[in-house]
Amino acid sequence: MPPGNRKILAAVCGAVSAARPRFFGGVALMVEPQVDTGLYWHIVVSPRDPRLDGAGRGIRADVVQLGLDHIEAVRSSKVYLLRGHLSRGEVEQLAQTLLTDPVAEVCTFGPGLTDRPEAVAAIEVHSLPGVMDPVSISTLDAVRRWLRSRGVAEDAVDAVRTARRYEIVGARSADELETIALRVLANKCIESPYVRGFGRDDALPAAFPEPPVAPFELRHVPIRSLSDQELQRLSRDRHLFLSLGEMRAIVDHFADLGREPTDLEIETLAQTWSEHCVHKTFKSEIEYRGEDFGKTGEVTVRFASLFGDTIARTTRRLDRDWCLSVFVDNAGVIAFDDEFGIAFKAETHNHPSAIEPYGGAATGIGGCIRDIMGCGLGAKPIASTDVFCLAPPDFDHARLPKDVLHPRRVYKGVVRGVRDYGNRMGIPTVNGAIYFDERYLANPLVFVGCVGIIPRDRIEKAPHTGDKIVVAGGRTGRDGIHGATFSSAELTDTHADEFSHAVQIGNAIEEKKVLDAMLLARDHPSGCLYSAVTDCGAGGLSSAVGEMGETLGAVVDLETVPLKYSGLRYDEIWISEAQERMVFSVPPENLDKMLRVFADEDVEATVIGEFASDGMLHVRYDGTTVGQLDMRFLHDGLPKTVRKATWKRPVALSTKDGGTGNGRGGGSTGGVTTDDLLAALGEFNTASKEWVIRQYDHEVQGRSVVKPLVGPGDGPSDAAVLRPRYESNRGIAIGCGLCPELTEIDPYVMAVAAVDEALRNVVCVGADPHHTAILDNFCWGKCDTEETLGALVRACRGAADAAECYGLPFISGKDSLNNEFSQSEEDARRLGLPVQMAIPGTLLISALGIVDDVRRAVTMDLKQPGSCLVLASAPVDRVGLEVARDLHHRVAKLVRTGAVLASHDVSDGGLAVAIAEMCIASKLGATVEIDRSVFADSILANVQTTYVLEMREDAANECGLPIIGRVDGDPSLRITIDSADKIECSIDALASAWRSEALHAQ
Amino acid sequence: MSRVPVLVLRTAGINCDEETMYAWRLAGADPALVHVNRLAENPGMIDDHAILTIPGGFSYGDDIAAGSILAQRLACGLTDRLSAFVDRGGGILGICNGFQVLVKAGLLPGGPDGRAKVTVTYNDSAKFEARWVRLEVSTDRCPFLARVLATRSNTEDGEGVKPHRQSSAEPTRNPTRPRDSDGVEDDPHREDDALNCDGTNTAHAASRGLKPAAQVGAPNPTHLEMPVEHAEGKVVVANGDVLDELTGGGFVALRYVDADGQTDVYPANPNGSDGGIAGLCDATGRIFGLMPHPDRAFEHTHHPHWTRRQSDGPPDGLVVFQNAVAHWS
Repeated sequence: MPPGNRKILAAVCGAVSAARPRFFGGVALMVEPQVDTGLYWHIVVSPRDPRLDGAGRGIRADVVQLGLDHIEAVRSSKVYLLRGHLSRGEVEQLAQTLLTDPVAEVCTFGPGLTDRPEAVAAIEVHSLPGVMDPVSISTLDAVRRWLRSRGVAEDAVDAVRTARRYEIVGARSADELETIALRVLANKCIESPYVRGFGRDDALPAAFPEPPVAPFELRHVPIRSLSDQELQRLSRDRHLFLSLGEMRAIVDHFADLGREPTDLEIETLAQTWSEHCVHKTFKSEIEYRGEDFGKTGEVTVRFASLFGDTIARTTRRLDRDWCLSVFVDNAGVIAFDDEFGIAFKAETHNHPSAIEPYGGAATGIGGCIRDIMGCGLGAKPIASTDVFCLAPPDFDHARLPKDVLHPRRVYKGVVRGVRDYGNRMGIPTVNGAIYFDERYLANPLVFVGCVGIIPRDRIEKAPHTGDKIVVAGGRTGRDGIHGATFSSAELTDTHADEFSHAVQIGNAIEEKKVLDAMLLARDHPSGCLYSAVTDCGAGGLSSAVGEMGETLGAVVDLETVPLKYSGLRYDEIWISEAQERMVFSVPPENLDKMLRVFADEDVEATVIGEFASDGMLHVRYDGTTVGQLDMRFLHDGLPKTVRKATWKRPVALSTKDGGTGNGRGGGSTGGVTTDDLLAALGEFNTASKEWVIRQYDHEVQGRSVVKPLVGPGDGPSDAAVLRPRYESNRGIAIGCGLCPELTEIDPYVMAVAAVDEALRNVVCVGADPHHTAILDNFCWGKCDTEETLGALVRACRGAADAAECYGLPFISGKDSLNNEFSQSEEDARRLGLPVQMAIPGTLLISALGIVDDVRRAVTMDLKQPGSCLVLASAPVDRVGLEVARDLHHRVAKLVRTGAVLASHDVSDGGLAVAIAEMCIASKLGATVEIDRSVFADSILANVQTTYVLEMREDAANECGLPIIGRVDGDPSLRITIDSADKIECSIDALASAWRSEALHAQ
Repeated sequence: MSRVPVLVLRTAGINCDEETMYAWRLAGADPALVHVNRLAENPGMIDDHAILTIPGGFSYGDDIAAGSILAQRLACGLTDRLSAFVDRGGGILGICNGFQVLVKAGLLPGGPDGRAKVTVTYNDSAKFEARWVRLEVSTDRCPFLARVLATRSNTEDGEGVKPHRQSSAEPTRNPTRPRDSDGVEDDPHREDDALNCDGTNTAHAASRGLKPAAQVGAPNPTHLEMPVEHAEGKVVVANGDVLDELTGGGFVALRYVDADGQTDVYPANPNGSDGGIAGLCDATGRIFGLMPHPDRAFEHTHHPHWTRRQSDGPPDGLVVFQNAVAHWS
């Protein structure tokens, strides 16, 4: 078999590698694809003029980054493959009028098999078969409409695929083309590149591949007689990622039933019991031994449930009546006004983004948006957030481990993914952060959040016996199989290959259609047409139906699920994580209306089953039972574990920084010069993220009040402010806190600092700290060691203690564990990296605060020459938490009463950087005198919880806080420290240092 | 006087329909949101309306090219209906994706071979970009723009501004009033009564001691400021003659300009548009499309610098809608 065909075959079979057959349900998928011999046309649409080829210029910039600066140009084209029976004349007309812009583009075309010999080196990138290609779907529709309008039978074209083509001008060898193909153009998980030139002549696929058809066959998995070792092997080979204890519990259950489980039952249990879905570490009982929390001395503490005794306890104790829904739904909900609530949720999509940054980040944000859509009876998404933790984009290419994507590629990919999905959905991306640290090299973190507005009488939901189960939206395919269990595993250097089937490509427009239809059904004149809704996320239908029917039971007929292509096996249909699907429970009397609403919006909605009353999850295929699980075992059968956790303060770091929130950025305590400040501004973690922010639509929906970039100099806003209801001046502020650089010192302090930073950010813009809620998103390494688990315990306690003192209830959260990467010792030595690479324990706190009147919101750009700069600062530690809380409340009052002209949080880079940012934002200058004794530590590093406020002189004198300087009309910054060190610099110079080129990838 | 009926079209991927509807209402029109499928079933419904609006978004994913599939849908079956509608005096407004649709459907700039003269394609930067721009009105025949100056002076006494939308719980709020006189009223949710007194506790610009807008970048009455947010907004003309013809013939409705009046300097011209073209109108002036978003500039708090200046008169985006309401009343 030629290599090209082998690749196609492999991909058709759900990304099963031909060289290494993988097993689904005990049957290797090696069915030969049926090859269609019909003609296909290959149409290439190119910019008419190289000046119109911005995409090509962007690719060339990436190629130059690889060191290939002799490449003169890259010329990009779009490729359409049309299968069908059209004459050459018809194809020409179709290509010219529908596919080619008459002013900006030209096209060439020919039958697919008669590729012309390449005059120049070229690379064509095709999606692997089975990979979602949204453009092909809408193009096929448009082609058929075009044919119809010209009186041609519309089935003259029966399939369309799309591809991309690049001519590489100035290439020197086939090897070079191969490098460009794999390092810049194609991700082999989802795409395959075809290279031409210098003797290389990859044959394009000869026909459209068809997916294999698997005849129905009920499969059981014999487990009752397996030894412990065999059970462990089964868990690994089938990608179940269940522990031996969990496997044993399943064996016992089926031994009681007197039968073997079906493959579908095993898969359902593995999905439902995955760390990703059930958060077993957070729910486990933990005995902690180690340093006390925020105090010195050793303690032993027993947590009946880590989550219940930390995060949830804070919310319980605070008991705020404006918390309308906490921890029980897809998102948390707080009261906005008498009529509406605001839903907020943040998630991670780390593993998929490591392997395919674009698709991983896009489906990450898509999934989080669906969480908001699936909250209550459906919230309308009004804003998104994103936070990335990545290795620096200038990381040495030569030190990259096998199958790890370069951080620059990850950086560009995840930004594009969030951009394309969020922008297309029409949801503004309003707040975020990017944090760079080498330890995220193999495990980049992608946090995505979404905010929605929901009528307060649409928060409660519950399916009833007899309600129809309706799946709506995208069709089900082989994409995303095993995403939930994959997310719960550690990455290795073979994962990119093994788990490419867990990667998905999103289709934002499909999700937008589902949203439009859902809101029409929710607000239907005859009342909400459904009794419950949830999204189809990790675990696919198995999780969605399993959760909705947890108390009732459900019957599902899998043959009724609409498929992207025929031939899926029943277990694939059940666990596929194909995107853009929602599951509704619809009372029978509303069914016709419901289906009508969806049909009117061109959204497919199909009845696939019914909620029962017997507490059983009954899954059938064509009438045959393929799974029958007791909901009680599914949801409560997971064996409880007791785990031990320890933590010891690292010796080298223990003395000075302990317990105070110190250590940010490692600023020196010695002399501080202008050069120090310029260098601090250019640090990746401080530098302007404008390149990223401007790619996000942050104003769609017209709710924007405070944008991510503020002032004439585009300074970094502390938080976003939105007006959820056009007709009201009441608003919300959204901010975040993230301090992973402190985890090494003490995860407890890290978590306190993250909560503090999130609150600071929303207080700066005018949020009410008495009406602010937070989300926790933990990303940690493998918690199977006592030390790693101990660090997690400390972080949970830190977050809970700070939130309780500050009065910030947690309303929702999520954790992603096992963010580690292992490689061979030999590779590790060669690359100068650890064998086992773990991320620093990372906690993202997202804050959502109410702003009473958005017209009082405050931005961080300086406003008025002659006004005063005021310092508001307090230590953050266990003893001083109340002091810090009082400071937040004091600042919030000043901001909200209009006494503050500008306010800014001091974070990465410290006080000098914060003041410099305020100057950059406003293009105004300042003269500042700092008395070092005000601080426990350095000037350039963040030492405590600190705000810089700009106030009019009278207000500044009145407020009782120290005045440290004045705003100048002259655009330069002068800082004197202890009457000795002097910083003096023009605002232009500060701004250009802050706009680091390295983060502005073309 | 009855309100001007406006048909706001939506379809898969259109995502600025909500704010566009709201902006029309704020301007005093009576907008109806209609799915393109309903319009296709009943094309006659357009004749019940004075203005058709195609909002922004990514219709059909902008697959093939931005706006092209919706353009094709309109072209297959609705072209004659739309021409007749405009001939009878109707107006068409296309914003962002809607502008791309109008160009690709051949409605802008119009004329027998219009489609071969102008297109909208990928930004020079080859990526989506969001930023506020300054626009110069360059035609005098477009009713959406013709009264920029006049409307600005008129709205001081409230013409064309009819606040609606108040739920019973919310007191009346006139969004076009300057922030100064507006900052102290009435939020039932406000917890801190101290906020309700005047003087130093009000948050508006004057009490903060800020200078009037003129000193911190005042809006110029012949210019409009609003955001662009797109990846395919570069207007390309087939050749120099076409550009002369469009400019000389009054088809160029809006141009990107920087502080010095230059039209070709990035980022003031955010996408590399030929001649700085940001919006076009047809020979009647009644079909008007623009890449920037007036639907994201209908509140003073939409402006990126609103916290550092005072603003008088209606926000720039609202002016476009108010002009249309005044013309079609």
